Amino acid sequence: MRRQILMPPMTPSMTDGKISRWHVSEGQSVAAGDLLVEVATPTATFEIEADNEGHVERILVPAGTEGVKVNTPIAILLGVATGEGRSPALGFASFEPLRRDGPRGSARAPAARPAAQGQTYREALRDALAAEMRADPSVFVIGVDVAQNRGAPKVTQGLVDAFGPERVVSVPSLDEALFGMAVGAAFAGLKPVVQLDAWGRSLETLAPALISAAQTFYLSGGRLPVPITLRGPNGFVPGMTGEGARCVAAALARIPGLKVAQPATASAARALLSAAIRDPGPVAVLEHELLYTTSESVDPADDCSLGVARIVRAGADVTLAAAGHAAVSALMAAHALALDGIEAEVVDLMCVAPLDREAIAASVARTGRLVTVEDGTGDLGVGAEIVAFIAAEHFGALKCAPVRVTGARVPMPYAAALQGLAVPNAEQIARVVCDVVRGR
Amino acid sequence: MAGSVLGPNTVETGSVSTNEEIAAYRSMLLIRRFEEKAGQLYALQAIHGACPLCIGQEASIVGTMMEARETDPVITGYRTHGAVLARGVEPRLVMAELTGRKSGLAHGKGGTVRMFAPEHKFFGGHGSGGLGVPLGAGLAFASRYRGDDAVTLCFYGDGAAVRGRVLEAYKAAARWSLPIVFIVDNNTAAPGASIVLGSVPSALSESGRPFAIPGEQVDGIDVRRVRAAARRAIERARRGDGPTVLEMLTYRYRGHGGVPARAGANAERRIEDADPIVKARARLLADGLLSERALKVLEKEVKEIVVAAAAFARSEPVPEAGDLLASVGA
Repeated sequence: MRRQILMPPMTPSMTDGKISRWHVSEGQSVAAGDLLVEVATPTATFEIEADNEGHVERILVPAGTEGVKVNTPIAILLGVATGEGRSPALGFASFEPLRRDGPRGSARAPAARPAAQGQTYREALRDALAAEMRADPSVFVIGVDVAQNRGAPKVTQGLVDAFGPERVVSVPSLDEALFGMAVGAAFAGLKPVVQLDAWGRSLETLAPALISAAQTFYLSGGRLPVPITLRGPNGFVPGMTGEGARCVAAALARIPGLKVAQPATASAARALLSAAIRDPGPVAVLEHELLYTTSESVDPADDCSLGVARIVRAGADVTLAAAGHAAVSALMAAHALALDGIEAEVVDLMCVAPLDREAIAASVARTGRLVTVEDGTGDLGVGAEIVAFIAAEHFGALKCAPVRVTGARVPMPYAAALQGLAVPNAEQIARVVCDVVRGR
Repeated sequence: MAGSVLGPNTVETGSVSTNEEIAAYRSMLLIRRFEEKAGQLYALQAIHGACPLCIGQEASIVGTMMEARETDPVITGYRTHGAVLARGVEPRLVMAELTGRKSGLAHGKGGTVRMFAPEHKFFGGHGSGGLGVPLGAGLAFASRYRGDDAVTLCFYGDGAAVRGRVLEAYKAAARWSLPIVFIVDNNTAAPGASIVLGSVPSALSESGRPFAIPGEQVDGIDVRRVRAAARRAIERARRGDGPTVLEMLTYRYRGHGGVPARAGANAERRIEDADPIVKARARLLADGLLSERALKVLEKEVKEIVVAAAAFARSEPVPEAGDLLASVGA
């Protein structure tokens, strides 16, 4: 069997790397466990092993080549299965771009516009930042190392060259006072965009300033709007534990005065981040580490209102309601279910606050069945809110009891085997949906 | 100590014109009478929750504000009443907020702490032990970002002054050389602190030193000395030379919600020694700037403003059910 070895995404945020050396040459035989190649990124060096017997037919990218994009073929092996299996645990390396169809999506008729280039989630966020910074001089970015482009999510790459260090404010760490300072700058009418390394790790430090930002408009009797955006990766990251991989969506959604956006795809990332920056109030944008490298065609003119869901897949049998990474898992489950004859409608919530209750209710009215999906802990969570709302207000639309698929009520454990159980994946979701639709 | 909390007496008083002396007295007196009235309404339970008064700290507020321009942002901790009045907000709107009325400054949503008047560059009242200090650094950051020449005045108490977030804000202010004056009212009576005069170390003026922020200890009882110190700090900030910490040595003698902050044999004598308004009045008389009769006229006028504010605050309608969900999000 002839197989290509692809440049592996060694970390979820990796976009490219250097082939620092080949341990094998063309024509050489290899055994399982033999080192094939050494790959270097700015932060780490990795060695790739052969995981089966075979021999090297061709080396496509010579040693010393820099900037080799992830998933570029770097060698061809005969009879060898390589380390391709090291894609992120939930399998988004091969993530299929979301389609936008269904009643709400088609109303915007994106097909009427010229086709845009495919773009990664990360690039879409960067372009949203750049566009808003160009449009409004009061927009600035602040975060750890945002100018040197080594901030963990690497979303701000290149912005300092375009806008200068006065507007791309790099700090060594985001302490409580810098969060407070950003909120104070928003009091004064600037529009700060704060980049967090990880929501789960930042929340305790951030909380006092975030609560202040969220409540000040109300407590001032509507006198003082606080136009701040806070963005960064939220939730599961392979190998990270505890608060480092915690999903804070439900926790944030309960803060009155705060909007919470959770982009699932590149186009949602672009539209939601732009809407967040333009919003007169505080908005938390919860990105996801495993989504940064996913791509989709993005129309820069496609905008959205915060709190408006999108139907990303139409289906008559069951409604899957989810946001962010969980929406991607739900969509993957829906594709698998279609092979089994079950047509699931996937509602990408886009925001968990405000929650588009009407869109969910309209979908449930069509399907009669509801399954909610979220990565975070289920108790008192997003799904709990949706189920309570549908049960209270649209009970008659339900053919069967609604079901929540949620993260386990545990601090994120370390072992990959346990992590896989702590966050719902497409297979688990599909199994639950199957039971719901088949009445088991 | 000779019964004094006043610290160094050699501080320059600066030049203060007759009109300014009178204006300062009037402004301090308005705050005093307002706070006394608020204390009464609190005792009558017309004001509920907490009602932190600034009686005894009027000179620190008025002296610094006299040096500020209208375009200079002001932000405070939870002790807001004096500062918001000194900024020129109508006393009746502040009092009506305290009584939770719809016509209050925050339409009855904010109460004693959440006073905001962005049109007067007053950015509130913040609780949570010094959170207003990093927020204040943000106001100053915005001035620097925009390249305007405003200087932020940031007030907080000795209890907040040693919180981590305050020291972090010093670090940020130093890093960007922010145009801000940190004004610590060291009234030696942080909530819950053991109220023994002198138990709080009076070295808060030095608290910015690790970040090379200069500090000054100021006789916070003498409005002229406060003003002179504020002028130095504000001018420095406006020149682009960065922040200053001003430690105002004051003596607040009403506790949170009007209960006496002090007890003990020396308390009354200390009050006499440390009342900025008693001192300012005596000075006006001694220097022949105002006659006893003219002072009485001024005092009556101030009292009438406060009485009218209280009447307004007690007669205005309370918010309606429909107001509950108004302006949750901008």
